[in-house]
Amino acid sequence: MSAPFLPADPSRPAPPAYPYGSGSFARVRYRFPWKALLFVLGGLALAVLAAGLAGGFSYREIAAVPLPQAPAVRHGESARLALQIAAQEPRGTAIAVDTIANRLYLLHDGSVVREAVCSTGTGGILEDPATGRRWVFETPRGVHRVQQKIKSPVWNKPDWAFVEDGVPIPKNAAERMDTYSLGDYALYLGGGYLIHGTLYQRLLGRSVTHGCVRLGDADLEAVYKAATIGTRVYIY
Amino acid sequence: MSGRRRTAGTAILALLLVAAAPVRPPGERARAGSLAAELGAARSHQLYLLLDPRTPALDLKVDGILLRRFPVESALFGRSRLAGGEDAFPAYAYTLVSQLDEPERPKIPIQAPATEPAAPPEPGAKPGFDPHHANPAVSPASEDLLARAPTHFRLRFDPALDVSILGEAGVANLPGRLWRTRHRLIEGWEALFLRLRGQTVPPRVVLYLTPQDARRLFLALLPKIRLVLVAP
Repeated sequence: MSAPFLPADPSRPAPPAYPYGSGSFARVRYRFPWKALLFVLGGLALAVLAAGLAGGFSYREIAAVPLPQAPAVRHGESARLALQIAAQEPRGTAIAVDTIANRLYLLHDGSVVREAVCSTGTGGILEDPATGRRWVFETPRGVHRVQQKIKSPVWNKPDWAFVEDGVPIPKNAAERMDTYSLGDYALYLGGGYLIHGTLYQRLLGRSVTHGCVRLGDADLEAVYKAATIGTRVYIY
Repeated sequence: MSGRRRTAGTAILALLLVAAAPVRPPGERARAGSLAAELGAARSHQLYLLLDPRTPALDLKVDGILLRRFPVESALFGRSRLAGGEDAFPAYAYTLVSQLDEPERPKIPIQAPATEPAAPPEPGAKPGFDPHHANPAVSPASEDLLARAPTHFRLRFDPALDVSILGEAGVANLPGRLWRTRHRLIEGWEALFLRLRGQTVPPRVVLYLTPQDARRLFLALLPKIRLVLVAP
């Protein structure tokens, strides 16, 4: 009752070869879906990129951006305001100190009349290992005024001077007095900061001080003579 | 009847006065607004920044005196696509509100106390002064404060304005352009994140400076420093 044997028909195409091998036992191989993974990852990358672009900033040249609409102004208002700004400039002497370039500028009526090499604060930190106290040796930026003019200044050495030298802090106040380190003149700016002279003139132009501004002898004398009590000192 | 005549006469007179009044062009009004903002900053007797979009340059000033100019290679104004709103500066004067990161500070070494007796003083030397004694405050690290300051930072001002300082002027090659594109994308994601959290995305000014100027500017910043826009 079996099916009758039929001879092969040469006009019919041969059946495709079995892809997983031949024989009685066919192996089934697992194929990692690389294409699907690439598709998903590419989609994610595009989504992230699109999110960045969507939230991104559209930039234009700043010069083309409109300024706020000011209220109506009177005739000559701009000239009047410009004059008022100019009137804010200090008359007479002012001092500007560039703490990065270590330069001091003596100004008169807003113009530089003398430029001097100075030394300003290191910006470093000193820590007392015994007590844990910390000092930051930075020249205070901002606007100050000359509060005192001192001839032959005496330095009342603070605690950090002894801590830095690794010596005990004296209990006797007389041991703190230093009559030679500050030079011949000093201008007191408040907060313990001075413009003064130095024994270390070779270090002028470098940031080496504990926050004061050090000047060479000739420059110090010129600045001392030009400044008065109340002279503005701009430190930047 | 006389009342109508009087009303008509008053109206005609008013029209004539309005027509005769000098017209203030928008540029003049902008200039006056900008100068008024600078006058306010100068009267504070504090350091302030002046951004001139036309030059472009960022000036550090006080009392109307120019202390230092930071030349700007390129200045851009941007607004997030998500933020909407008008593409204009919100105000003439701004106040810095972002916290300034403290620069990394070098540690001052403590001197070892002298164990040997001091040498006899040189002739003519001031008492107590040892010319061979190195200044204790001098350390190579102290020269690095500028080098340690960041070249890329962002400042937030009030009214809402972000100012990005990018110390990469002169970088116009392909890696530089790719770097800037990467920066833009990060900005976009940040803006998207802000928006998703329901926060507003402030407009942004991007200033490209040299790395040295960017570091120098960072060290010149003070808390609550004012920024004033200059009108032409």
